[in-house]
Amino acid sequence: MSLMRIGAFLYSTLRLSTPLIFAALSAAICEKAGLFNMAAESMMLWGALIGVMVNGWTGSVWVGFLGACLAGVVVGLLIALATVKGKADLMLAQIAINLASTGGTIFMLFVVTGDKSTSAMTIQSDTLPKIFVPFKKVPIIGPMLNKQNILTYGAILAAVILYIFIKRSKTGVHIRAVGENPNAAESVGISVSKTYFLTWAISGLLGGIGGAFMSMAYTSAFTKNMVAGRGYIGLCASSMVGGNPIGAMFCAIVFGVADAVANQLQLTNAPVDIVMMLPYIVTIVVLIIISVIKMKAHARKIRSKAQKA
Amino acid sequence: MKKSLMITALAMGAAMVLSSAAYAGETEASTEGAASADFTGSGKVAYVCTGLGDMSFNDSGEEGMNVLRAAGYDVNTIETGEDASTYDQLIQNALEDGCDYMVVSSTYQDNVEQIADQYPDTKFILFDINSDAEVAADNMLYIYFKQNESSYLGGIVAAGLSQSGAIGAVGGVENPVIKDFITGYIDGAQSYNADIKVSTAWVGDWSNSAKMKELCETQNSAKMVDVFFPIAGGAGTGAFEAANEVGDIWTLGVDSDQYKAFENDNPDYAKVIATSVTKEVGTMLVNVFKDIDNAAWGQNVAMGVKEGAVGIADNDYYEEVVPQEVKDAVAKAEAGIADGSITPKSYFDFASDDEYQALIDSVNP
Repeated sequence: MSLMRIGAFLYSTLRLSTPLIFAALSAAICEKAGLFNMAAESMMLWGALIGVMVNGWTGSVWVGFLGACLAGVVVGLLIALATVKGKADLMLAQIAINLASTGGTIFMLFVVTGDKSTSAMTIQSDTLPKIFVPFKKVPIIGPMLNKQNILTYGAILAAVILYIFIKRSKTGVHIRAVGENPNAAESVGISVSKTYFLTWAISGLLGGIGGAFMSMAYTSAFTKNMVAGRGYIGLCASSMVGGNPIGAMFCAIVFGVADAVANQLQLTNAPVDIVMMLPYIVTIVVLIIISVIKMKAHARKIRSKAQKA
Repeated sequence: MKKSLMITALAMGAAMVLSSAAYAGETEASTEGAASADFTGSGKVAYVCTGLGDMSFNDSGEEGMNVLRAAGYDVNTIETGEDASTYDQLIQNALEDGCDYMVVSSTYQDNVEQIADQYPDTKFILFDINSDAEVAADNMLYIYFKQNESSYLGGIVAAGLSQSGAIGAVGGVENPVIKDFITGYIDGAQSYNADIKVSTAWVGDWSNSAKMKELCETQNSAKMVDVFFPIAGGAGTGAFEAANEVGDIWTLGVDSDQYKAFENDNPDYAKVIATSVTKEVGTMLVNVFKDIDNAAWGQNVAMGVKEGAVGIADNDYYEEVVPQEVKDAVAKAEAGIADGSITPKSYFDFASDDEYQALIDSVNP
């Protein structure tokens, strides 16, 4: 592989990883609050659609981006409303939201544009700016970073910010406290339901940005079902590292690598069916490895406790 | 607890309603165009497709249905969505409703074959069927499109436009029809340039446009591919995006004239589409209905370039951007296919899938 191709490969890896990172962060903050976020898929789907629509109406790609963020937040708050206020089962509510979003986004697209599969012909929307780096001639790093979308940098930045937020801020501590033990948190005066609402709002924001990346950066239009399972991969990335945002980001990048490798392998004579399974096989293998490591650590802990006793 | 159950049930209910509203609904002439017909007929027709708005296959069929509506047929378009578990029920409903003709694509072949003999009063028209499919009942008509012939012509255009000597094709889901497309494409490209390299890849579904974009760009960066050919329904727009991003790239549209489709509303897409490999689903269905009484019931009918069922889009843009010698080669091949002196390779003529794989491997850059 020439240096040029390695650069192109890494470029593609980062771009493939970006929506996965946002999905992973969206799941990560929920995980810290003791919630299981299966709805990143919906947040992204709505973000992708509303972003394009608002962009089309206002003519401003950044206003569209805000619309996407808001759409994600609304989906998050809807889940909070159903599960915290309405006491609905978290899993069922999210399954319902996901089912409704697959059809709902198409329905909305149809109502607004009369088109059922893509906004490419009916809505004039733009893409968010790309960043051109001055060192584009530097081997590997240059082609890897040059022309990446601003949201790719945003994803990495978001992971760092979320990490600091959860670790250091007062609200972050509250979220973790509620995640560890809601009753204990309640007893020391932390409002659990408020915390849940806030968590879902932040989660929705991140999911919405991930959706904006899909329709306003990765491609320049909304296509039905365009999120295509990325929300679930993100959930998986976050679960692997127990909701640590930085770890979740790296796990998402691992999946991005698997995706990019699968794309490269498609160009060889490797059997397509197996190649297409690769990202998912990697997911399962990494999950098993992590769970084995966790089990071993747990067993060690018990053993050392037993020895002390 | 009761409250939570109720809310969950409500949410689920809302989900079902919403998703079914967008998916498995029956639309009455939703795209009622200004279609006109030069013949008349009557009877109830049910046209079953996965969903309108794909800018290609299903919409082309719907255009044909609009002509039938103008001709006096009572046509009901049924959009099933992509959940295969609902197909049986939706088809049964339409049949119980009473219909004289049911028009479906190969997607529903299994569902319809199982029940066709229970509804002897209904005639079934199945299109886009494999060439070797055996007709299940006497009240059925199968239409096989020789997509290998049109993509043979597309292959010539792609090979003629390529500067690097490497062209690409990205399919949606691996199935015999798409493999037939690719077989003809490779054959046509080789007829123009014996040393042409053809890179193939698969999206895995018909909607992941981002993956399509990624695959096309990977083909370009790793294999110097400079002509993209997406054969993947709605995911195809990803190839047009990739062509814009990379620059100096041509693409071929598929099924309908996609240059015309995007010309006014998305010029960025249109400007990279040199031509389209078309499948005139609507026109062919109309032709069948024009002479419905003498249709070849119980047979599998092949329709190709000669019948005008498939071809490439000869629009102004094609005339403008494709070099004359390439257009001449296309015209020659078109005539050759029509008079039988050229027979493009077909996936359906291969003894086994290995033969197809060998062809793919032999041209892989």
